Amino acid sequence: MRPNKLGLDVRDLHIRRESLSWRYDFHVATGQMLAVMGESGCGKSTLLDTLGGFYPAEQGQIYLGEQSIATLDIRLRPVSTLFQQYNLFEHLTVEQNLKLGFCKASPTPAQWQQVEQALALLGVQEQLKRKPSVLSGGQRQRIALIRVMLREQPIVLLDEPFSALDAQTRRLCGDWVKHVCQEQQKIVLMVTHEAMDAQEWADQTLWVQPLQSTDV
Amino acid sequence: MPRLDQLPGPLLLSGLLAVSLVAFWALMGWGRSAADVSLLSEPWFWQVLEFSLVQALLSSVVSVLLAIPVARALALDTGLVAKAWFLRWCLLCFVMPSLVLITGLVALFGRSGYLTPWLGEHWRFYGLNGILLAHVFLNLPFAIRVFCHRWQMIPETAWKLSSQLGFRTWQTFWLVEWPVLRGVIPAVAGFIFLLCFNSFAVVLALGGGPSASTLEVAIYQALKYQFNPAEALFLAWTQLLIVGVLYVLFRRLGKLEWLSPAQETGWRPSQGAAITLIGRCAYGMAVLFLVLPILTLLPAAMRINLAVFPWDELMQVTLRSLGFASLASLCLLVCVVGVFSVWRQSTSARRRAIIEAIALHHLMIPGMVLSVGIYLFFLPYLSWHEWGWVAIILLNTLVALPFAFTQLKPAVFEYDQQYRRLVSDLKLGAWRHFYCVYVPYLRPTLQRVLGMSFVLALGDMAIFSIFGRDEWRTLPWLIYSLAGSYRMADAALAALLLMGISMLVLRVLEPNNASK
Repeated sequence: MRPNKLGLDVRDLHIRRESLSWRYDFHVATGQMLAVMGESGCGKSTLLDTLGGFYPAEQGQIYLGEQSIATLDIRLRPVSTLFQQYNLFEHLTVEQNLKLGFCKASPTPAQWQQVEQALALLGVQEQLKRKPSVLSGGQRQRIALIRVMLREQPIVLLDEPFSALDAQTRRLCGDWVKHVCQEQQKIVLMVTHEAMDAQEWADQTLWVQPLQSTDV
Repeated sequence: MPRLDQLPGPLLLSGLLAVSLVAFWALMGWGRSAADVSLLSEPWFWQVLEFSLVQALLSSVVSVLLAIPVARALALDTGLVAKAWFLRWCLLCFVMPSLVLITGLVALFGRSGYLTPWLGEHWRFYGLNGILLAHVFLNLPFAIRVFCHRWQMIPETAWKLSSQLGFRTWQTFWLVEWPVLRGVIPAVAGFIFLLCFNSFAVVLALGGGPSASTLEVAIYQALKYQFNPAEALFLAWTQLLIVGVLYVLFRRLGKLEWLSPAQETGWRPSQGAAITLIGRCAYGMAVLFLVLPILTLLPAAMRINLAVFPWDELMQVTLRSLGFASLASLCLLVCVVGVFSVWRQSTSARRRAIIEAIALHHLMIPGMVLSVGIYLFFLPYLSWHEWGWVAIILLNTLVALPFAFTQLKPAVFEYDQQYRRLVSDLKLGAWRHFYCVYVPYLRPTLQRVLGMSFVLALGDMAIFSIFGRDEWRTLPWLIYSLAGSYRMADAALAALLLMGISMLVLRVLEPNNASK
């Protein structure tokens, strides 16, 4: 089957980790968000790892538009990931951490303006010169989220992006992610345990279950 | 086919191995001179061997036993004063140039030392007494830092739990403290044993005759004074064999945390009055023991005759020493970062173990053995008179490599554990990653490594003794020759200068200081 021209196409993707295995078939159009849900340990993060190139698939294809990216090296994959932890270099300032997301660690004035707007919107603009070690978990998560979303990568993988946020900040961040996703025509996959997250922001939901095929 | 930019790492590892192989090759005779096995029937050989083992054993046992109460007081007694200063001083003592210490000890315990009148008629400083004092001074601080770090690693909850369960002091020690200590005591004792067994400068200065000499000094004397390569070869092989066996044995006994910086701790149980008193007395005595020999240099240096002091020579010698130490420590930095670049690229545990073994194997080969091997190998091809300085710099780099590797390994490992995926995801170029992220992360540890290796190279005696020459002495050799000609005041002043430079370098490159 030919891949769809726009968006992310995952076709007959087989993944095996220890005794568990999964098979995926789904499509996410550009400017859309896919919520990845399932019980703890069911393989949600493994799926993101495979899409990001950190874990090998047994077989299957991953297309971005018409380009197959399944065999691309991690450094060449058009993917930006928010991991569950260690998203910021503790020995660098927030500003340095944010700049590392852009080409040659030097964002253009327009890109940096976007960063500053996001910092202000998400309430962390005061933290720019600080090091992550003095920030709260929620502040760190928002800063990492800003870098991940504003990088020039079409596919964004978010692994529990709002886990350290209170309800109000969670809504603020979710709305912002949705806005950036639509405005910049990104493809966002978001692992979450909250059904509300999927209802609020996701265009579709993928339920992950091992040992059987999992389709949207 | 390997890419061109991947070649420097393997080349570096091959170079490290090649130096040792070349030294071994030379020691195996290589068609010139076979080892003189007849030494086995010489009583002096067995005397030297016995003394080497006995002094090393006593030094390690005494250092470990004295370190335990001091380290415990440092870790648990919140009322102890100047703890941070003392722990920094300990680091300096461990890498202190031996000649500084020896000059201080002679001023305290020597024939006309300040404390000698109180030590009785039978007191003899030169020989086992002096060697033990010096070795304990150099190694007690190392043991204190390692044990203190172990005590500080005990989690706060373990202390709270033992208090809530109403444990007595001995129960807490047995159930909470001893389990974290026992794993490291044999390794620390073994490591100190090896350092003392390989000791050169201390034994050269304070020993004498077969009854107070070690294999390391005997090799030096066989080569430098008698030019008897056959005897040197046999002694070097003996030393290598013993050190190799002991090294493998001690490595199996446990792992060291080396000289990790002390950490701030949380809640700790209050100690009984008697235990606190014992701990404070031990701490006070350790402070006195580790400070007095150096303080003694001040009044000793005051007695110099300014008019006849060789100022010009001191200046030249100091600059030369600074040059050697700077080049050796910079070479070391390049070398250790290079080794880690290969280590990080290797994903298999086996390949990493091989790389680690290559980086650490110089710990097993005493500096004197390495020096003798290289000296003999290249003797027919080049003039050491002319090129000895190159060997001094490179061999000082090699002997410090195991220290540097072990210091850096936890930091590199932690970096990869935490950030390997993030670095890949950010798609930073190799140079940008190295310059903007990796080096800033390692900077505190790199600075400590740079400082320690600088001071170690600055105080080197063993390698210089083989490759150096009188026309371009280094500061330790100037001190040695001044003390040898009974110019103790001059030696004390030069020792103070060496000490001052060491303190300054460690202070400037100290991670806490640098991060401000």
